[in-house]
Amino acid sequence: MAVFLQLIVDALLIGGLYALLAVGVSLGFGVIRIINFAHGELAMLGAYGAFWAFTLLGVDPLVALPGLLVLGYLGGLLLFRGLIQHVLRAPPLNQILLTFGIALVLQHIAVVLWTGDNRNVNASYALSTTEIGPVLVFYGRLIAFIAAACLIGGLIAWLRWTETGRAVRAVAQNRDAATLIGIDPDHAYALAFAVSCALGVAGGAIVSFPINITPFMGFSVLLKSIAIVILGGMGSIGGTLAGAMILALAETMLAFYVPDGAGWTDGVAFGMIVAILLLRPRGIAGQGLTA
Amino acid sequence: MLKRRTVLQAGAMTMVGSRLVRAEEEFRIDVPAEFSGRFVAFGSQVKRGVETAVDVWKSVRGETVGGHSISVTEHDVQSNNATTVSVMSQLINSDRCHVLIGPGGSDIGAAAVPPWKQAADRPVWIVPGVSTMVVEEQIGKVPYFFHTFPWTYHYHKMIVAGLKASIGTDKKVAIIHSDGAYGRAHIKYAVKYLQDAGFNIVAQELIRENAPDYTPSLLKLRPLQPDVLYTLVQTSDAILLAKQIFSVKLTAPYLIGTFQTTLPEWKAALGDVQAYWTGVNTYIPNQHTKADPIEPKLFPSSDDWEDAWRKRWNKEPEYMEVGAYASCMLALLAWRKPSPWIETRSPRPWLNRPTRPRWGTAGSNRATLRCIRLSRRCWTSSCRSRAINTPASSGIRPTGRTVNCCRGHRYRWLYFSSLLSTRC
Repeated sequence: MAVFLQLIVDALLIGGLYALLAVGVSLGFGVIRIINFAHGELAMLGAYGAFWAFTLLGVDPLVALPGLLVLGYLGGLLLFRGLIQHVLRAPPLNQILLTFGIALVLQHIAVVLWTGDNRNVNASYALSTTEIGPVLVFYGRLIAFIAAACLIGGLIAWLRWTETGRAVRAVAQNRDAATLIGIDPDHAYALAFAVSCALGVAGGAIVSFPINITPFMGFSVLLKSIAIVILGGMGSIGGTLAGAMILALAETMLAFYVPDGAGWTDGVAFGMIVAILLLRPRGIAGQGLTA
Repeated sequence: MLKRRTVLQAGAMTMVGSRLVRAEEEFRIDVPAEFSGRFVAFGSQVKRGVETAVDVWKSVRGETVGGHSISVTEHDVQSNNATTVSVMSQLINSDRCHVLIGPGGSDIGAAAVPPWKQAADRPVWIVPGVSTMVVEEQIGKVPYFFHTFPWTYHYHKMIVAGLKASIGTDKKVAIIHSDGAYGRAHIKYAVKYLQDAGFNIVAQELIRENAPDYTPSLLKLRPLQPDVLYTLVQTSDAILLAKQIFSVKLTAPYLIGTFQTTLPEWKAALGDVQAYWTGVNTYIPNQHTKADPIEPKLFPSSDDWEDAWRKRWNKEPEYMEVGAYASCMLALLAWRKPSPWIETRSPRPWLNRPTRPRWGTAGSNRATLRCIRLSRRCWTSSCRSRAINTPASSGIRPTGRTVNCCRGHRYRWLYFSSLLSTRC
């Protein structure tokens, strides 16, 4: 029983991180209907931002987080105005190629600037643990989970209770109707894309202390995020949270209870996605931006 | 109608002309390596090693080798198997290169084998990395292939011998291996040598490459209370694994890795968590080995060589940099005899000649200049005990010597092995 509890706690903490990394992809797709294949690379830049802040300035990743959020937001805005808005009405293939191209460029810039070496943020709490009853809790993951929960909570609050958030939701639901009531859809798109980029950067900063930082970390982040978004339902924040938790639980349980199960975790995750696409293509919570 | 004399004159001029063209031919060193992608660190190490060797050669022996100017061209295999096949095919079949040096990683090295093996006219290929047995099984005995690095079984032969001599075999060993080519290649030999030595293997746990969480696997091992935790994963996974082993308080007294435990990257990533990890390496700085008696300027004493390296690159030399340097220098030495044209096959007998002790070890293959060492390192910057081993000798010779470093850590596993026949 103690082991089972341990696995549940581990899965929840990992699921929180997965959710934060996936929620930006979900928001971007829900509003502007573009899957941002550079999302993983934005997380990678966030992780490097946290690493350099920690290494050069001695600033803890959590302290650096607000600054990185702002940088991510501004970078996202720049990316949207400079590139993304030109393919809004282009065929999906063009959109995919553009964002994929951005991802490759960012990845290679990171290699040139920082080499392919592994980097790690060894914050004092990163490797500490505490025992709560029979359960061992990783401080690093707990702190990351709390930070992720705060950011996701902030996103939900923004979408639900602020005028700009409601405008973004309105555009996501019906662009024409939103335009008729005076909402500028291009502004809403830019806002949603910038916020999704900021969340990607923040996600990277938060995972900088539990995992390794390399220029190539973005692809696995992206793959997992897309899997979660498909599982939860494109554009649904609630569905993304559920998808992240299901995936984390499935991976953890499989790794423990099935012999050599750790080797099958990705396969089972994608098996679940295939099943969802066959049985319920809208995912757990379906299309539309619901908070 | 052409006269016989005119035809003969034309023929003679063509022959002379072709010789002249060939005399101006550049000696081509092509470096197919990982300059981007997941194993980018290997590619840059191979590049630095080769560039340094060529520059040292030019400063000592002049601008040419065997009367030909030297050209070094790097080719990015992108840490990708398909790209590796394409790059190797191009170099061998179209470009007609003279010598290939690289790649560094096992997965990529294995992918590079088929195009080289299938070519009718193979260039000399010197591999300064790549431990996977797939390569040895396929081309280990093929002429023109040289390997300046240990094979997978050398790692485990060395580690297990060290363990056996220092802690005895009445110990429980838990093995963690990745599901990638690296883990799968190593597990067979690790198990073989551990079992042959008489260790009690209590678990073999597979983990996923690039996974963010290894806790479930570690939780399975914790109740078994192994004495030795034997990990067979590549560096990036090993760093995360070491952190999580520390966090879940899996307190095995002996933590074993492979090459990664001696890398600066490991040190920087783990800080104090890397203490008590043991691994192997083919090169550790500060060993004070003497210069090669025949080529002291090309293979100077390790102190001089390391000083020059630090001045040039502002960093400590890595094992693959040393391997690439040695590989390239051997290629240059092999073709040193003046020749009007570059014959790709002529240097093979020289490369295969038995060697005298060079850079610390003797070998049955000229390309085997180095050794593999089992070491634990103290990474405290002020501590001088960070690289520990014994004087060079042949075979595996555990010494049992004990050294206390600045942190009071007792380093007892001081082994040194000459891995003689890496080409086998």
